[in-house]
Amino acid sequence: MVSGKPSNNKSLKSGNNFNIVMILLCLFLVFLGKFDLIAIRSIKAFLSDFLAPVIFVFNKPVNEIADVLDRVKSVSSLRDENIRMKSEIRRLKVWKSKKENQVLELLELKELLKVIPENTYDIITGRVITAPGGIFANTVLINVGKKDGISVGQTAVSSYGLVGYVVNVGLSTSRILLVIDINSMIPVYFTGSNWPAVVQGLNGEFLKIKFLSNEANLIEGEHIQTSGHGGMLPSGISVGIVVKSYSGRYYVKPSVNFQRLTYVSIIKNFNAKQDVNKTFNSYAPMQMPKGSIGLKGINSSGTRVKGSVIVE
Amino acid sequence: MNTNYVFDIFSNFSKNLFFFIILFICINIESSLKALTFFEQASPSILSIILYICVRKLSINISNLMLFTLGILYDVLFAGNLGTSSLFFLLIKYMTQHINLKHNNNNNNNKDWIYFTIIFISSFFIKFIFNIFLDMKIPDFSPILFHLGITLIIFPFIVLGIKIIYFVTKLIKN
Repeated sequence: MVSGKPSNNKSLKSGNNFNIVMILLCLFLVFLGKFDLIAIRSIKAFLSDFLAPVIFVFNKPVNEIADVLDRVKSVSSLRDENIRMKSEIRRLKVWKSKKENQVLELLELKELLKVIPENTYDIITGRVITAPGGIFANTVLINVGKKDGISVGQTAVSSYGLVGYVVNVGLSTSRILLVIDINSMIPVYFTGSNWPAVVQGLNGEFLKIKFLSNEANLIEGEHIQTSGHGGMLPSGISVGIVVKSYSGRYYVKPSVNFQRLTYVSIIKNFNAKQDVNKTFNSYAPMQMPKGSIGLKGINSSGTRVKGSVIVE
Repeated sequence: MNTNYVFDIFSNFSKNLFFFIILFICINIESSLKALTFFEQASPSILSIILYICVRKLSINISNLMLFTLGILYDVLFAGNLGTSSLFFLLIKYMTQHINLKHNNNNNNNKDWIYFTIIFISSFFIKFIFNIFLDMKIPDFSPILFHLGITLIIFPFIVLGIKIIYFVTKLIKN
């Protein structure tokens, strides 16, 4: 095995045969992995669970070095940062006073329209164990898993916006597919123009905009949020902003800095269809889920309602 | 005779285990490097450099089974398509053992760098094709080019580091 180069032709030949067998085995595994079998997924989850402490130990010193470098960098630009912060505080104060008025107005309008109240999501926060994946996959491993109530498909968010969704769950670890991964596709809408689209990861820094109407006029700096179409992800989570490349094409820059991810929250109790059915209780012009009663003035149980009074 | 046989088995096993641990540490270092801002786009493939040095310079015949296992662990760690990294490592080993170019340049360092470039890029290209075929999508090229570039740049430094370690050990021995 580790005993120098093969000395004679016979061993060289057997070594070559073994090489070919191993390469064939790899090819078999490649195609087996693509079928997404439960057994393969379980093995991956088990290995992730098993390797998590080792990965954490190896990542710790490098993370510390990165933190120190960041701090040194921030110290050098402390003065500029201070000026920027002061101007930002001034701007935020103006916004705050405007926002307070708008919030009151919004609450009144919501009350008038009987808008379905927004759900409070049950979230669980986990620590990110690995730095975002390799060049062909962008995922992170977090230290919460099946025993904490995590399951495949749940949404991962940070304080800045959408991180991705859970693709594999072990007993005490979960793997999150980041929005920048090539296999990630998120239904979104443009907050300025309200046009729906889908953003797809490119395994790079930016996201590609797909399925956007030809009539849509994109504005650089426009914010993008999840639309909730498909019922997989909650709506209204910030995804990023529109940026224009040198070639004139539009891309989306994610609002989350995946390099600096330390904690990620998982939304545990999101189920779009169930929530709408539970809370629909008025004759406001809201869109009903498929398969349910769509008449104005009749709630999901078929009872006629007028304001808060049930009409018999 | 029997005792020698058992001793050989244990000796081989311990050597393999030692190399497995070293290569596994390399994978972990490679994964953790992504936390640094410089390697934000992609980290260098340290494992392929170490593999090349082991096979070409130190004449160590690393077990195929070990490379296969390491590849699987690498794929689990980086969440890549299962089997592609095993294939990549096996190809690196196979090419390192079999590729020999005829040229007049006697500079060993240059020769090594050219060999490594050819081996690494061709193995990586096969892995890349497999990934495109499996994902049915073409990824952004900038992290891939950065990965290739940074690996080729870092190669002479790792070789130099190993040479220094070798020189210091020799000095201590003397």
